[in-house]
Amino acid sequence: MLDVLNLSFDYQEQPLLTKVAFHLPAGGLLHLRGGNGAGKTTLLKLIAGLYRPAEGEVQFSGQNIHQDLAAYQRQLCFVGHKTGINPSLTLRENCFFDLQYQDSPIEQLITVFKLEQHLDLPAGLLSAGQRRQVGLLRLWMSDAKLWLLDEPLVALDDKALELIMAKIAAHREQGGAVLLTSHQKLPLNSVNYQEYCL
Amino acid sequence: MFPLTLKPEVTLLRTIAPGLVWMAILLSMLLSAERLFQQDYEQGVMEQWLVSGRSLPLLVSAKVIAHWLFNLLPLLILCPLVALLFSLSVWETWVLALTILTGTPALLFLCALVAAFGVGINQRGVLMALILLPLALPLLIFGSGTLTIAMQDLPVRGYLALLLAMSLIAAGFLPYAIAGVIRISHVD
Repeated sequence: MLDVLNLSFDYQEQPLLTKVAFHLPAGGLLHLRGGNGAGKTTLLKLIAGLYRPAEGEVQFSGQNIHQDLAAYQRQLCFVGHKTGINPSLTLRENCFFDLQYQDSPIEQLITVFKLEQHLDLPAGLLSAGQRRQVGLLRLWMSDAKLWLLDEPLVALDDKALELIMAKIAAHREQGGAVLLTSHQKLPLNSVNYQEYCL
Repeated sequence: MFPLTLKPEVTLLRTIAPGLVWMAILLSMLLSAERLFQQDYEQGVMEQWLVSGRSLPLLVSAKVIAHWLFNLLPLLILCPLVALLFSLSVWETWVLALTILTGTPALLFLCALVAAFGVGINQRGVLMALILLPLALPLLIFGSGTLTIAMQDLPVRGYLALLLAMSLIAAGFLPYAIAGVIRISHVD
C-alpha cells in the first residue's frame, strides 16, 4: 500500500532524515519511534504530502503521491500533533464545520468519548485530552485507507486509549493501514506490528 | 468618532467625509484581518485544510466571505449613522453604502493575502501595513472618489463599476494567491 523509498529531508540546511525506507502493506501497522527532534512528525508530513523530500519518494499503491496529491490526500486521514479544533467554536460547530464530519450525526459521533455534555461548550474550555479526543473522532468518520497519526496516544486516559487501539485494530481488519508516531512503546501485546526507529 | 472631535461645520465635515470613512474602513479591516488565519494556523486547522485534498482556494474564499459577512456587513447597517454625523443626503448615503458593498470585498481579499504572508510571524501589523497600503491605494481613491463626485451631483455609475470590477478580480484571483502563500508557508 505505502512505500517510502530512500527518503531524505534537510531542515535548516542540516540533514534531518537520511535514506528512510520502509513498506507498509494493507492491514499493517507501523510504529515510528524516535526521541524528541528525531524527525517523526516531519516524516509523517512528508508522507502526507505537506513537505517535499530532498531525495527519494513516497509511493501509494505504486504511484508517486505528488503525481496526483489531492486524490492521494482524499484517501488518507491525517491527525496531526495539533488537534485541528477551533477553540472559539463549540464542539458541535467544530464537528459541523469539519469537512470530514459533515455527513454524520454529531450527537451519535460525540458519544464515542462520552463528550455529549460538552457539545455546546466552546472547544477552548475542554481539557487537552478532550480536545485530542475530538481530533481523533476523525478516525470514526473517515473511510480513508491510510491513517497517519502523530502522537495519537498523548494526553489520553486509559479508556480513550483502549477505544483508539480497538479502532485501529478494526481498521486493520478491514484492510486499512496505520502509520503512527510515538516516543513510547505501544500498549499492544499480542498484536503484530512493525516498528521503525529514527 | 471623528465628527465629534472636529469643529461642527457642515462644509468641513462634508469635505473630509469620503476620505475619512474609507481610511476608517481600511484601518478597521487591518485590525480585524490581521489574525484572520492565525488561529487556524496555530490550532492545526490549516494543516487539515491542506491534507483534506479539497480545493484550498475555495476554502480560503469561504473563510474570507464569512469574515466579510460578519465584520463588514454591519458597516452597511451603520451607514445611516455615519451619514447623520457627516450631514450626508439620502442619495449620498446610498452611494456610500454602494461603495462599501462593491469596494470592501477587494480590500478584504488584499488583507487576507497579507494576513497569509504574516502567518507565524510576530509583529505582523507593520508588515501588513507596508504590503497592503500601496495595493489598497486604488480602492481608497475610487472608494472615496465615488462619494466625492456624488456630492457634486455627477454620475457615479462608472466609479462603482470600477470598484465592482476590482472586487470581482480580487475574488477571482486572490484566493489562488492566498492558497499559494499558505501552501508555501506550510509545505516548503
